[in-house]
Amino acid sequence: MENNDQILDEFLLEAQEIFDRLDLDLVQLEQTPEDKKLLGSIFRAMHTLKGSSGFFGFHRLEKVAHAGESLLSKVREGTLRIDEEKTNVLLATLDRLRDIVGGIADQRHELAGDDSALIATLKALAAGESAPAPATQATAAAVAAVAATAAEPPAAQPAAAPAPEPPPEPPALAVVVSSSAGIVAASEVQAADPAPTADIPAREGVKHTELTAPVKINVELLDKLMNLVSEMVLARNRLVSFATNSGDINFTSTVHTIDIITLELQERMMETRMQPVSNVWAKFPRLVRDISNECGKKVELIQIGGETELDRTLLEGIRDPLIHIIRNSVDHGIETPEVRRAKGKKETGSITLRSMHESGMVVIEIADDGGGIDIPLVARMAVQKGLVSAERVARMADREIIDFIYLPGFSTKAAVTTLSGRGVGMDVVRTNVQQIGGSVDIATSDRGTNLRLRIPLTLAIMPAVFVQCGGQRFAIPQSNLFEMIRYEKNGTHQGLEDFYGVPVFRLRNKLIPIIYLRNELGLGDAGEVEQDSLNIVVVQAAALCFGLVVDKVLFMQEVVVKSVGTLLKGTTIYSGATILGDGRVAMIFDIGGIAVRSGLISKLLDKDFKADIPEPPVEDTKTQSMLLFDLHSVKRIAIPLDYVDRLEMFAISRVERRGNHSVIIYGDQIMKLIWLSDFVEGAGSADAHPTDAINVIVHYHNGQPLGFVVKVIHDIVAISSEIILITPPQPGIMGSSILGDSVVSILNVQEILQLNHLSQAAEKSSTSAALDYEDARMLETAK
Amino acid sequence: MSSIRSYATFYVGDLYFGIPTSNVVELTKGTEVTPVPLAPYAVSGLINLRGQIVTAIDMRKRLKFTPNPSADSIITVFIRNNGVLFGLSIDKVSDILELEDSKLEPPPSNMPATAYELIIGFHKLAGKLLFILDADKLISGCLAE
Repeated sequence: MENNDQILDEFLLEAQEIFDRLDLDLVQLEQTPEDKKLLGSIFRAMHTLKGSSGFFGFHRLEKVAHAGESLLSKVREGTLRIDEEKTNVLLATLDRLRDIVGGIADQRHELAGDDSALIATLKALAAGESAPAPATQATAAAVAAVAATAAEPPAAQPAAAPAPEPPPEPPALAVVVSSSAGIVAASEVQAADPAPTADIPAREGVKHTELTAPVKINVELLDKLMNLVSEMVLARNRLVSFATNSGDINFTSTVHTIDIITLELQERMMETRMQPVSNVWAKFPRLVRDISNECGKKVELIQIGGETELDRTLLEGIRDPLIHIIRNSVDHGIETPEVRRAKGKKETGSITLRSMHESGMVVIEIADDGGGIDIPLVARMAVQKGLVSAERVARMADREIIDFIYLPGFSTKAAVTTLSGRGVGMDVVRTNVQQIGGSVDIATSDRGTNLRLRIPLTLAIMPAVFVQCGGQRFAIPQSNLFEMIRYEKNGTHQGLEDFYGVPVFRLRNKLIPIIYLRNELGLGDAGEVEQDSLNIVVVQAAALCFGLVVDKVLFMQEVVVKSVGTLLKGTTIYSGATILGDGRVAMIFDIGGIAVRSGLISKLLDKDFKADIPEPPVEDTKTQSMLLFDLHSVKRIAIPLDYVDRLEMFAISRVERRGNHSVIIYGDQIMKLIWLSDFVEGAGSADAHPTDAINVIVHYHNGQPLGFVVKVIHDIVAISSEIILITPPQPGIMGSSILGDSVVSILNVQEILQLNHLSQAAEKSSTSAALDYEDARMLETAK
Repeated sequence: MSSIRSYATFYVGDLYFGIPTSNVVELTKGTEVTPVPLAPYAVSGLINLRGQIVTAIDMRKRLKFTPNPSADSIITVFIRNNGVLFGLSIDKVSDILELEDSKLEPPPSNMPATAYELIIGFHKLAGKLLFILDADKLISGCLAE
C-alpha cells in the first residue's frame, strides 16, 4: 500500500510540474501559434497526463484530459488555429485538471464532479464551432484560480481547491538536483517525462545543455546536509586557528587541505540550495495574461536571465513581492491601449523581468513601459495625510517624494484607485525584501517605471565584519557595510556636530549621523573612554546611512547564521548569532533594528535631514581635511580630501599603455593614471624607482575615474586653511602649511588637472602656477 | 496507582528545585556564556553547546535574587523544552530523586511570588521542600519583564 502511495505521490508531483509548464506554454503558444515544437510539447504533456490518469483509474481526469487532447490534436494537424478563445478554454481546462488533481492530493481518491459543460465546449471547439457561453465563465473562474495559487504560501498544497484537511504527506516536498550546471527548471519536467520535449523554445532563448538524469532529493535531507556542512565550516575555522599557532608543517599542510576541501564542499552544498529564478517566474506569463485581460489592457511579458540562481528560501521570499509588483505594473503602470495610442506608444505594453548577478548580489529588475509614478499625486497624498508640509514637499526631490510610497499605510483604498503609479502595498514589498537582506529601488518617468530588487545570494552563510565593543565581539553583515573610517578628533571635536540632538560627522560633504554602540548596548558610556580617534563603521539600512562608533574593527569572516531562539526574538537589534573559530558565540547585528531602536529613524523623519544641513560657515573652517602622501623625492604632500574618492593599490602589471598615457581597468571603467611625480617639481621620476605595486588615489572627475599615482599614502590630517604661498611658484604645489611642527606641501590639483586637459576652468587664469587657494575652493564648490 | 517520576535536583540560593530528568540533557560546569546586551533581564546570554546555540537563563536573576558573586563556578543545567534547548545557571547540584506523582502538593501560597510563578508544586522531603519547576512558565516568564 505504501508503495502505491509513493507512486501516487510521484504522479501528483509530475502532474503539478506538467500544469506549471502548460501554464507557460499555452500563453506562449497564443503569441507564437506557428510554433510546431511548442505545440508538440503541449500535446505530449496533455497526453502523458491522460495516460497516467487512465493507469490510476481517475476517470474524470482522463475524460477532461482526453477532450483537451482532442482539441490540441486538431490544432496540431493544422485543421484548427489557436486563438484567444481556444487559449482561454484550454487554460480553463488546465485549471479544472488542477482542481481534480488537488482533490486527489487531499483525499487520495478522485472526487465527484461535473465536467460535461467543459468537455462539450472542448468538443465543440474541436469540431470547429465557436464555444458556447459557459466557457467564458470558466475563464473567469480561471482568473480567480490563478490569483489564489499565486497568493498561496509555498508549503501549501499545489491545488487551488480548498483543502478540507491536511494531506497525509505533502508530495511537493522535493527539489530536483542535477549534476549539470545549466539546468533549467522547465526542463526537469521533461526529463522525468518520457517525451523528449526539452527543446521548447523559451523566449529568453535558454540553451539546453545535455542533461544527465536528475534525481529527486528530499528537501529535509538537503537541509540536514547543509547544517552538517555549516558545522564543518565552524570546526574548520577552529582547526585553522590551531594550525596557525602550530609549528608542525605536516599538521599545517593537512589542515590546509581540509580547509580547501571544506570550502569546496560548502560551495557545492550552496549550489544544491540554488534554484533558477525562472522557477518563480514560471507563473507570471499566466498572471500577466489574466490580469491584463481583466483590466482590458494588452501586455507582453519579457523574461531575461531566468537562469540566474538564488537560494531556495530567498526565492520563496521574493515570490510575493514580485507578484505584487507585476500586478501593480499591469494594473496601474501600463496604460489602456487607447491612452497608449494617444501617447504615441505601442498599443501592447511590455513588462520586462530581468535577472542578473551584480557584485555578489542578485538583481531582479521589473521594468514596464507604462505611465510611471504620478509624483505630484504622491506629493499631494503625502500632504493630505499630514506626512509632510506643503512647503517642504515643494522643496523635495522626486526621489524623496517617491520614498513616501514605502511608508506603511500610504497605500489606502483611495490610493489604489487614483494612483496611476505604484502605491499599493509597496511597504509590504520593501519589508519582505528587507527581511531577506535585500533592497528595493525605484526609477520612474513617463516612459515607465523600473524597480530593482537587490537580493543576497544566500542567507545561511554570509561575510561579516567583526567589531569589538565593550569587550565583546559583534558581527555586522557585509551587505550593510558601507565603509570603515578612523575619525581623528584632533582634540577639538572638529567635524563632529550636533544636528537636532543627533551627533553627526561630515564625510565627503555628507552629514552622517552617529550612534555610539557602547551607549546603545548599555555597555558603558562612550565618553568614559576618551579617545583621540573614533572607529566608525558606516552602515546602511533601508535608505538610512549612519555611523556606528565601535571600540575596534577586528576582522572579516564568513559566518554561519544561526537563530537566536525565542527569548531573544524580541531583541530586535540582532538578526542572529554565530559561532566563532574559538568556539565562542558572537551576535550578528540587525542594522535596521539598531537604527530603529536608537530612535535615529524617528528623529530624522521629524526633521528634514538633507535639506536643512547648514552650509559649513567658511570663516569657521580653520582647518581642512587632507590626505597626506609621499612621492619619491618629495615627502609630506597633502591633497584636499574633496579630491579623494578612493584609495587603491594595483599590481604594476595591470597598467596598460594607451597612446602616451597609462590606463588601468577599474571596475567596468577605464581609469587614466596620472603619475604625480611627473607634475611636482623635484619629485624625481617614478621610472627610476620600479615597484611591483602602485598606490593610487582615485578621484572621480566628471564621473570618470582618474588615478593619481603616489609612492606612499599616510593618513588623513587636518591642515590649516591658511596656505603660505611660495615664491617663486613651484610647479604642482600650491603652497605649504604647518602641521604639528613640520611643513607640508599642498598639491595644486587644479593645475595638474589642467595640464592633463581635464579642467573645466580653462578660461580662468589657467597658466598661473600658484592658483590661489580660495579660487580652487570656489571652483570646487561650483562644480 | 501512582507513577514514579525521577527528578534532577539543585539549589538556587536557599531554594531547592527539581526538574524531571526526562527534560534534562546534561550538566556542565564553568560553561562560557556570551552576554547579549539588551536581552531580557533573566537571559544571561548564549552558550555554544557543541555547535548548537543555547539561550542561558540565570536562575538567580529569574528569581530576583542577588546575582551570583563567583561567576566561575556557575553550573549549567541544560534542559529540553518543546524540542528547544535552554541552559539554566544554578548554584549547586544535588541528587536525583524518584518521587511519586501523588505526593506532589500545590505551590504554597506564602512563598515569594517570583518563585511561586514558576513551579508546578512541591514535594515534602525530610526537613526540606523540593519545588518542581514548570519549564514552560520558567522560560516564557523571562519575556514578561
